Amino acid sequence: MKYKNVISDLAASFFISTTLITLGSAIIGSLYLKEVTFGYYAFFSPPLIGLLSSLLGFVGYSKREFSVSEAIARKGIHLFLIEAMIFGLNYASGVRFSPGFSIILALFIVFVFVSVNVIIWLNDKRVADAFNKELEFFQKGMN
Amino acid sequence: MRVTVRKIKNKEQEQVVIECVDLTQEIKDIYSYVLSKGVELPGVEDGHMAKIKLEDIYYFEAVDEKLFAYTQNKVFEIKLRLYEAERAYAPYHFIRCSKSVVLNLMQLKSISPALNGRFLAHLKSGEKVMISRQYISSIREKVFGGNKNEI
Repeated sequence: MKYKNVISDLAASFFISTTLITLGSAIIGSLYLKEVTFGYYAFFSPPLIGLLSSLLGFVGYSKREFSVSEAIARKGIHLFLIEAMIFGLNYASGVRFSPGFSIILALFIVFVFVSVNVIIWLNDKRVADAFNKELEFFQKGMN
Repeated sequence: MRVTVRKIKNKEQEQVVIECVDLTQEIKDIYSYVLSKGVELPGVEDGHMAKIKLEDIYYFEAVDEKLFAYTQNKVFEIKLRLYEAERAYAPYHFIRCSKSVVLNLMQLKSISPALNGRFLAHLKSGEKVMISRQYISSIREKVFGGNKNEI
């Protein structure tokens, strides 16, 4: 895969992740951590986590072509690394979550991960649909 | 454009003559279409030599230094390298879609998104072939043919 493609994928992943993390943090925070308040520095948290999560996406790229099953396995590793990174960062900074909240956070990470991939897939589907429409004209023009 | 068909008696003298003012893209397309209708290439099937019509080939695939041509229900070994097939048959709408596959666009039914920005090519034979990310733009370019209204 070309370097340019990897960068554009990571950029798309970063912006979608950051948006979803910001929205999710607001929802989860207002539901479960009402008493917690933050300063302006907290605004750096979603883009930082979005960036680190996207960078971990390098695990899904290789010069060699992956088969579909290999690509799915790499996605699984990527998700695991994101979970480990987020829980690891919180633990390292002294934050301790209750088991219940840990499950909610882990599920939220899965939700963001799946959403990012679905949004990217939907964009690819739009490209494929437009291509298929044009392919019909192309083939008719040649016959 | 006027089209004239003149019947002749000798099969070997069959020909198509294109008379045009300029060699436009439309004329080039007609030219490559006519060429593709007459092209046959030699292949080997179960140890026997055979002639394959180029238009019947869905795709070429390189496997272990060998090149294979896939038709509706047959596979032929071709004595060419993949890049040679890609170059030789590019005017007939064959295009590279991955490191090991050259696809006949005329036998492509549709594409659908796969993982990691790749696409799956659904062939008219029902087979599926992976399109690598790095080749999708050249395939789109070929199909859209410089159409500025593309995606």
